[in-house]
Amino acid sequence: MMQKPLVSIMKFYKTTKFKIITGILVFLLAGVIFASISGLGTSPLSRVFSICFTPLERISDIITDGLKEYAITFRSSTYYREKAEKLELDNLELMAQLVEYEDMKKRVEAYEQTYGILDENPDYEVVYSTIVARDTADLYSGFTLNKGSLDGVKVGNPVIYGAGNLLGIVNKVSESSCVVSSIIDPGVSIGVYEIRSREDGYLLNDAQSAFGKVANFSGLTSSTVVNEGGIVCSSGVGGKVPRDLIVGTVVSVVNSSTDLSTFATVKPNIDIDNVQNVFIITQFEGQINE
Amino acid sequence: MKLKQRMLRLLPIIILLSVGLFQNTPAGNSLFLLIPCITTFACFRGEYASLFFGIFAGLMWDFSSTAPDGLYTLILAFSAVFVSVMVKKYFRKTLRTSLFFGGIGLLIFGVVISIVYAHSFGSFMRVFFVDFFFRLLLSFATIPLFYMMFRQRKDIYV
Repeated sequence: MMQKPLVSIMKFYKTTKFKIITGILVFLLAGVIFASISGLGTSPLSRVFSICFTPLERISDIITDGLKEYAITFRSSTYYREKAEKLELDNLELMAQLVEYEDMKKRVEAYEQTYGILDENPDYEVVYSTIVARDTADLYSGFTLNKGSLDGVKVGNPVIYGAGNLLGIVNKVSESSCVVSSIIDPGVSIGVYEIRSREDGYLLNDAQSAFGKVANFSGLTSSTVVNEGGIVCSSGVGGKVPRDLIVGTVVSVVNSSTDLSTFATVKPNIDIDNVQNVFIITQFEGQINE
Repeated sequence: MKLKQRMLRLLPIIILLSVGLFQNTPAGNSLFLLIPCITTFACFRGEYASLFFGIFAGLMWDFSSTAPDGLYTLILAFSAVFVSVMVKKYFRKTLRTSLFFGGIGLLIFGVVISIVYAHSFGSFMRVFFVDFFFRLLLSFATIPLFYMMFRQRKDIYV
């Protein structure tokens, strides 16, 4: 029973197959021994193998790289699309922030300019507002603001700009907007005085003065001492406008052709047609609501 | 009705909104664009459409105006209906008709507003020619543009 396997093994030893396998193993072993003796760490076989295999590996590498590139590009498009979307969102957010910043900047500038007068008059309650429209047919420089009755704005409220320059009076009010008649409008009449002579009067505009973008300071006597360069402010008489808001500067004093009175033409210090942001005084001490 | 046609029917409203906003914008308020816009629209539409269009345009104008509320609404609504009826009965829907009614509308408006501004000073000519004439002329020049936008096209208005 034991002889049969031994015989078969012996038969295998004699086969060509065994000789080839053994030869290969010896070759490999010789290579290992050579590598260990030579100190190169590589056997001739592996070097031969690597010589043959390196170009293939290179080709494979290129192909793999190509495929990898393709894979990356494919992945990148999604990646970049997402990134682009994110950047677009970031950009929109930054733009919104920029708009907000510009708005805040203008608001701060407006508050800075008006700070003095607001500081001196703590009784003033003001609403910051922006001009949103102008009437193309209005030659008197009227304008529409983006604040209305919901913000406490009422007809007759004065509108100021900068360091207390009076721009006009609120003429019409809706919930979210109001229309302002400028101080050169013939429909606007307020009490005024000249600060040096302290002479009182009132604004009585007409179409002619409005064309010249000036207001008429009426009610002066023929012996008036008001002269060119005088500063005209609101007198507060009537309770529509607080005292000491600047109306403008006297540019000329004219004797009326129809009666004995004299009036001064007053040029507003502010170019009403180019103002953008203003304050509406909704409440002040001594205010008389109509 | 196809969606495209429905959308295109909204076009006049979008145009009117844009024109109204542009006219009221501080930067673009030297022209009287709503008048030629309304008269040209009315040349091609019925009385009711013109009436509502005129009211809408007038309300936009009144929004920014120091004039009594509803004044422009009344003027534009009336003008629109008048033009619509006149064209329906006596005129053909052509560019010449649009120019005629737009021109008449602008001229009447210019004359009336100049009289309002100048009634107490006798300086009508100055107000009309110095302050309004060039602006009216420019507004008149926009009529062909409105004509192209409002004329009835078979591919849109089936």
